[in-house]
Amino acid sequence: MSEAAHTHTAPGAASATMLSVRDLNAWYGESHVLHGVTFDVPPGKVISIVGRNGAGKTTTLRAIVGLLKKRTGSIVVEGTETIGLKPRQITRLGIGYVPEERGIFSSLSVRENFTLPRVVRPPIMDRDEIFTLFPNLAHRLNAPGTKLSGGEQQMLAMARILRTGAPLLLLDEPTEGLAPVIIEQIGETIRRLRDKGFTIVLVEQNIPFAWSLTDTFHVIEQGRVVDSIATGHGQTDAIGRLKSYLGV
Amino acid sequence: MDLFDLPLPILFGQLMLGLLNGSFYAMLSLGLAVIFGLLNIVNFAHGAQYMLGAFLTWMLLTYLGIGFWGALIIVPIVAGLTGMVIERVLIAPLADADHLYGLLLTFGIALVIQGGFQVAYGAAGIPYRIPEALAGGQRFGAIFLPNYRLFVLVVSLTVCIGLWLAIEKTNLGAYLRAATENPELVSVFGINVPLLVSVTYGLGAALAGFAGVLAAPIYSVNPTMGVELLIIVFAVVVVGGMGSIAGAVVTALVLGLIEALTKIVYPEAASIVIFVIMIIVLMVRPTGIFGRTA
Ligand SMILES: Nc1ncnc2c1ncn2[C@@H]1O[C@H](COP(=O)(O)OP(=O)(O)OP(=O)(O)O)[C@@H](O)[C@H]1O
Ligand SMILES: [Mg+2]
Repeated sequence: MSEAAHTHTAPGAASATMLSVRDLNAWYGESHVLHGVTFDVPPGKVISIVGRNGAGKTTTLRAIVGLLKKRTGSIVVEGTETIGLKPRQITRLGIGYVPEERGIFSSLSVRENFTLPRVVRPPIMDRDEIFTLFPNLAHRLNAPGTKLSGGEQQMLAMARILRTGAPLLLLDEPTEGLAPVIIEQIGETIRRLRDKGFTIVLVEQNIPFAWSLTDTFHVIEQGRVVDSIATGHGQTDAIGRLKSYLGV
Repeated sequence: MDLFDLPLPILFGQLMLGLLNGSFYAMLSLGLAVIFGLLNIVNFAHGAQYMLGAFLTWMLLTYLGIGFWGALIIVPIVAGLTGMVIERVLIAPLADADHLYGLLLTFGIALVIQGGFQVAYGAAGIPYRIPEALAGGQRFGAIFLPNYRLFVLVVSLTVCIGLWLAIEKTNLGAYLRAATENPELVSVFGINVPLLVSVTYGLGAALAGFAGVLAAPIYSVNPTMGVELLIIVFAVVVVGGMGSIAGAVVTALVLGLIEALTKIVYPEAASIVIFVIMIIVLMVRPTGIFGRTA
């Protein structure tokens, strides 16, 4: 049933996964939030992390990029153990992070927001390609970051990490609070990124949205991965199963 | 007394003095506001760093024979490096503690520096000569403008505007603004935030030291010169609000002018007018005139 539970990465095979999370425990101060999260992200795949409110999805992403001070276990990014590293050292290994609240800086223009994250790899997409993907942004470069609509802020949050050349993208609920048309646009964008070969970890509550984008779902409950579901062949009952985990 | 009954030269002299004081308020409040934004601590050591700048200027001349122009370069560098060391060694370890500890720490640093100088040099003011090239002044009819004061005005405003441009228009400035808003995310974006914090604190200290050099020939050099100024600068920052660098500079100049005009109209109130304005602003608009309301 649980794919993650019996996948053990042999030392030499580490680079076969883009990201490998093993027995991850994490705390906010005294409060123990993640209790042994384990999953793998193969290169070029889209992994979705789903679970109820407060299950630990955001915390998992924050722990991966090093934003939780206290964490134990193992997080290997393309063969490099990152559990002892600082956020800036971790993302330099090729991770782009889009936080749940989007993190657009209000005292920075759209252009400054776009160029803020340090470039970590030779670009996979150049500037023109990025702005083709997000045409709204191209002619708003001088606007203050927060003059953008929610959808445009989400697009800016994605555009700026695409600029860094990071091949592994962590997206925390990119559709939260957005109108259906915009959600569709963001789905289309993620699909194109997947086709370009990006590896994506998507946190989502919206199962119908995530279904067609995702290769494997990992269900988180109370800080643990309790189930993993691959999409694709003959999984007619899978959507229902996922929805029942979310109580929707 | 009515402002317009005054002889023009006196009015002009007061305005000049107001702008001059205002430009010192501006240099110090700018540093204070930037440090507060990024480190979330009220830097009580700021006045001591200014005093240190003035003393260092005097010491360079007295012990090493290095004059004003040399001091103008050397002192900010020394003050900046000392500031960075203080930040790294003393302030940074408190980053995760309540901000009150940072305030207490910088207050302690200020007392130690000030006390040390009092023991070594006494409380009396030490004079410092105006550099030769800037002695004398310009006469426009009945109005006389001392060259040195003009120089201080131009230099301090240039430095303030330069810093404002650096913060608003450069990449490093964008890092600073972003880290002021959300340091965690900035660190995820690959930027060395602790280094940025040290450099920012060092720049604030350098600016305070620079102001100290400029102050040496005007105000007498003494161990308490920083405390007196810092209290006014706190009020300036409260009135201007923490949100805007340009706002801090404009507020500083305007309050300097208001203080000077009060000296003419009602001298008894001159030393408290800025604090009265501060109280009014706090009641009407607690975020300050240029502060963000959100
Ligand atoms: N800054 C914090 N300090 C203390 N506890 C926190 C903090 N942030 C989150 N938590 C707690 O950690 C647990 C996991 O939260 P997390 O934000 O990871 O959930 P989530 O799965 O992302 O939920 P949501 O769907 O609402 O975004 C929750 O119990 C939450 O209350
Ligand atoms: Mg969340």
